[in-house]
Amino acid sequence: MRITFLVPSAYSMRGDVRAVLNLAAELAGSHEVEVVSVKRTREKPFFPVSPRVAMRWLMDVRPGVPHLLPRGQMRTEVALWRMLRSLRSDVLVTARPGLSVQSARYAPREIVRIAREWNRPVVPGPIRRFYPRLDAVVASSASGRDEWIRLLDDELSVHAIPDALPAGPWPRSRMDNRIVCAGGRLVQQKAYDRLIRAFAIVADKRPDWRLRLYGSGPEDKRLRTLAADLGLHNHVYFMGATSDLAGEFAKASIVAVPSRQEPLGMTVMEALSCGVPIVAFDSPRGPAEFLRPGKDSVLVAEGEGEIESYAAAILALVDDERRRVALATGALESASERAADVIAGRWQELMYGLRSRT
Amino acid sequence: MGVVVTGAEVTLADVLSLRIAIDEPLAEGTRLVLRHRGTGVEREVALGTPGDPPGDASVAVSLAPLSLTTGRWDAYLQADATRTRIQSVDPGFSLDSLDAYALGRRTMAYRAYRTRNGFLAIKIEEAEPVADVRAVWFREGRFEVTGLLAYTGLDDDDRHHEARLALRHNDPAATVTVAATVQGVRFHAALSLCDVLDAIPESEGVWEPSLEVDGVDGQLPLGARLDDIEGKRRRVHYPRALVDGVPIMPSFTSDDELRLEVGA
Repeated sequence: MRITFLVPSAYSMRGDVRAVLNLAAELAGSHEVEVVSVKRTREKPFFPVSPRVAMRWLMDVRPGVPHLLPRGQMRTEVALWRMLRSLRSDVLVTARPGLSVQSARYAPREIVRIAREWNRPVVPGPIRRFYPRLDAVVASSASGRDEWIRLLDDELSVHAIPDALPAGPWPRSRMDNRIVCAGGRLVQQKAYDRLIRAFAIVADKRPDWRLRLYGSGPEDKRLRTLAADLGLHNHVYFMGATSDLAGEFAKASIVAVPSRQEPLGMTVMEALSCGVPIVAFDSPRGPAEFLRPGKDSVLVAEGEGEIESYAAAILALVDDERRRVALATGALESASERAADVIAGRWQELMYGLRSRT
Repeated sequence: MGVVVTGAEVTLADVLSLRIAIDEPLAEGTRLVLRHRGTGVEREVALGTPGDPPGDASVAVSLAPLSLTTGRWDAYLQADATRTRIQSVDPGFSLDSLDAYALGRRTMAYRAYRTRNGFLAIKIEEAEPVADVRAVWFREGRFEVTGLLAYTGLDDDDRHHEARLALRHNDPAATVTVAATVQGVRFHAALSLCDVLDAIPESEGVWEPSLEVDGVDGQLPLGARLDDIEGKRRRVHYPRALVDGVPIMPSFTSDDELRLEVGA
């Protein structure tokens, strides 16, 4: 099969870009795969692209690149329209609602057209109008699938396939360090303040445990001040951003995910791949969708007394090594279900099924 | 040749012990090659038991006879003309084993680790007796520090050792000394911050703490090196205390040694 992935920019540092590139690389083992980036924003993509995947872009918007005509939305629209009308692929996967609408309108009908969705649709009007022309909508989670079924009122065309993890080998935790680890952008929705407050309770009862926070972002200064105010200077380390978050997770015995929202869950999956149990909040759009509570993780209810409950959940794992190790085994099992070959197999099955229908 | 290290550790006897997963038997004459990252100097060791069946295998290489110099050494497997960099899934990091390794008196400290790209490497540093800081507080007008003595050769038992914490200023005449508690290899010391300010009229500047322990030669600098965190100056931020309006703050130097900044 010839498979084309269409993304706004394959060059940026985003979880959805990484997920598409991982999937494209795995499918490229047995298919002809290309990734079309509407915009080229930098010299090289931030995430590595498999040499088996062909890359091309429609608009070169790198800073400093001269243009004969002024750059603008109209030129982008025309370039996209041209690309879609002249596309010679068997399957087209679009990775943003705006692109999926254009795919529904302009891509040849003989091509299997699939929309890949991670979030709820922000503007439902054009989606209700044009998405029925698509062959399938693939959400990244079961709850996402339910939302899309409600929106489109079409159960048959909406599927749920999680994102693929890149091929290993993944670092493996020995589970012998008294370290709790957390990683991601230091932004409000990640709610690291909840974790630091909870860790104050943990450090009071088990002073030999440490919290390592990886990442950078606008909340950095506020979180450092909070840690200092709580007297956690010996217990909380602000480790900065790292290109090897998995390697750092593997040094820990518990990974904490205090997020209010975790639409992609790549960080969660990386932690599971390293064989580290997760302690997370049971938020409506949080990491619960990617976890099997009790088997690979512990979930804590949000609301009144949530900080104390979160601390109690961490302390329970700190004090129970057998349970930690059992959850770590479960974490590896959960991660294996997201292995790139397994996920690519599900996509392949869906694509073959849709092609046989057309 | 698919080779992945699933366990890597330098033992107390400075033997590199590897557990490796192999998908085909190691060929006759396979060698472990260590390549110094800075200079490109290489050391080779022939691996025994060729022909092991695919699956798990164990390799032990004594590092001391290889005359490895300080720095980072990347690990490769060489069979005939084919050289493969060894992948590793072991973070090569255990706090407790680092503490145990540091109990012995050493001149060189070896540590196996996994690089950010997922390969096996060895880090080698010169090792001198040091007081490894684990926690620092300002409490009731005093600077308190606790930690673990490393590379001193003392036993990790309950025996008490006479010890003193000394704080030296840029001005060599200015030194504040207090008695410290050392039990086995664990130490604790508390120093009045008023004594520091009263020691010399111009007390502002950087004060350098050190520990003197009976039975251990020389003064032990206070540092924090028995973990994987490099650059603690950036990553560890201690609180600032105000004594008579003078700010005092502990901090780390670029090579992870503790200092007390007065008037900073």
